[in-house]
Amino acid sequence: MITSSFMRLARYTSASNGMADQCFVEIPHPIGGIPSEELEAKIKNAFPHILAAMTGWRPRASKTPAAKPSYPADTIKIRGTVSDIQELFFKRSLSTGLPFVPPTRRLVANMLAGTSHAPDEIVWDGIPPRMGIVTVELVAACAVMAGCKPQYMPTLLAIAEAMKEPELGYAHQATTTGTESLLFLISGPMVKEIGIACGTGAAGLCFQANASIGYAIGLISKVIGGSLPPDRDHSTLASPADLLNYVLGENEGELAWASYAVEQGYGKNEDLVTAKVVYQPLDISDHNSTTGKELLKYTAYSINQPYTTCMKHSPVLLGWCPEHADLLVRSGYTKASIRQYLWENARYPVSVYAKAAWDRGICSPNEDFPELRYGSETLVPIVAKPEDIQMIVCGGAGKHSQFWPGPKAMVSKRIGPWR
Amino acid sequence: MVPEEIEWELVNPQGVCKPILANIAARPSTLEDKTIGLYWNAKNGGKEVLERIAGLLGERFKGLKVIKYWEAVPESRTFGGLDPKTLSSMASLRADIVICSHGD
Repeated sequence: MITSSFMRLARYTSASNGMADQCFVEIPHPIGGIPSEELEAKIKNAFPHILAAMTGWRPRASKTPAAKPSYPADTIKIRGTVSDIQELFFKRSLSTGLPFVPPTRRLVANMLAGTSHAPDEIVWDGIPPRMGIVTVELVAACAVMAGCKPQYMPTLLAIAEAMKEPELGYAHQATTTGTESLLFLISGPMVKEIGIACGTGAAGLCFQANASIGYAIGLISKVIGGSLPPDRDHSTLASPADLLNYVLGENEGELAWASYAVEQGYGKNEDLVTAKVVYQPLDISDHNSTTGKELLKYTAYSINQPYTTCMKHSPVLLGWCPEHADLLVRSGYTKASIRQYLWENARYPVSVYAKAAWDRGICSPNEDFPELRYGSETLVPIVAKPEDIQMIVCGGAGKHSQFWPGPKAMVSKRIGPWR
Repeated sequence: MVPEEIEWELVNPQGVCKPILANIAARPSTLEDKTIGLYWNAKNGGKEVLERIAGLLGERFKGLKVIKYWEAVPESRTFGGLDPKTLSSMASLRADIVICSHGD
């Protein structure tokens, strides 16, 4: 049973997962958040179709899809102008509407020089929802289109490797109604080597490495992965970051604490990419606090909001600006004590969740809150455990930190093996 | 000035899809004495729809058994995708037919 708004996505996903024919019964969208009598009418209308489908439906015989070689990629020959290419690619869902550099064979070959890996190597054997095969050659083609330099290739390939880990939640991010994007934190000497911005404006799009890597990943997602609105990427409103993503470096020159990478057990000189699915960031603008306690109190209040899931294990990411980080260090705070403070003080009443949230399992008691129940005014933390609050130092002068909530886990991959 | 037209030879960045074939199980000819699995992906309204359909089916077919995966395999109650272990747990309950609800 599929609600009408998602039928095209369901058929597409079914087909790309080997079921060209699947038994669907369509129910008018929505089924959530409507009066019970309206839902009952939808069920009664759908029931005869469900009944017929359960015993009367027969799938058409499926054929094993012809295995086309994933390398080399097809060539597109065209006589025309750059504008003609932009138009052709957009019409064929080979681009997204933003201008791009035409991926000529020569430019793609130049890009491939940025890695020792062979162009036919498969990096991801099925990026959803299209289940497109991501080869090193195709990563290079997307990198060309996005304006990357060859030396960005190892970072791009490590990002693709991180994206395919199920715990990151990419498949969900690619099709969800939520305003989800991808954030990639780059750490280690690679930050300086390829010019990843980590200071002023790092999370923006005015630095070539950050912007073009984010755009290239967007092309991999939208073109190879087929995550395009409105039929496959269902983000209700989406955001520019849905295509361009966030790519930034940890500001290790300003670090008051061990970097995220070191904290996770990696060496200080190891090049690393850490991926996270994020919602839109929140600006924590505090120009007034003169003690760490004041800043943390202000921060706890700023980030204190209910999320899709109540106290589930999804890390949130705090990007402290250097001035805020410095204030916290001067006040004697460590990462552990900051986590503890925010976990204890960024709390809201669980009564904000409707009954349906309890029925859906969004809310449930846990070891810290065994007596939790619907309607209770018990204050609950924004995440299950203090260690679910991750933090980095990034950005330049000023007193604006950022906060990225988001579902699922953070996934790290070494860049070195992709050189 | 009209831009110059030239011959281009470009790499198609889309590539090919992974060849997958999933054989779909045959449907039973009757629902009597059969086991129906109900899969709810934790989206709003889905459970209510499945519960009601289970009720309507129970009124029509004798001996019908129902597995509510959200109760039998609580890990299945997610909209973030099912991992292989959870899928195996669901499959081990051996339903004859499964109704899934996907909506919002």
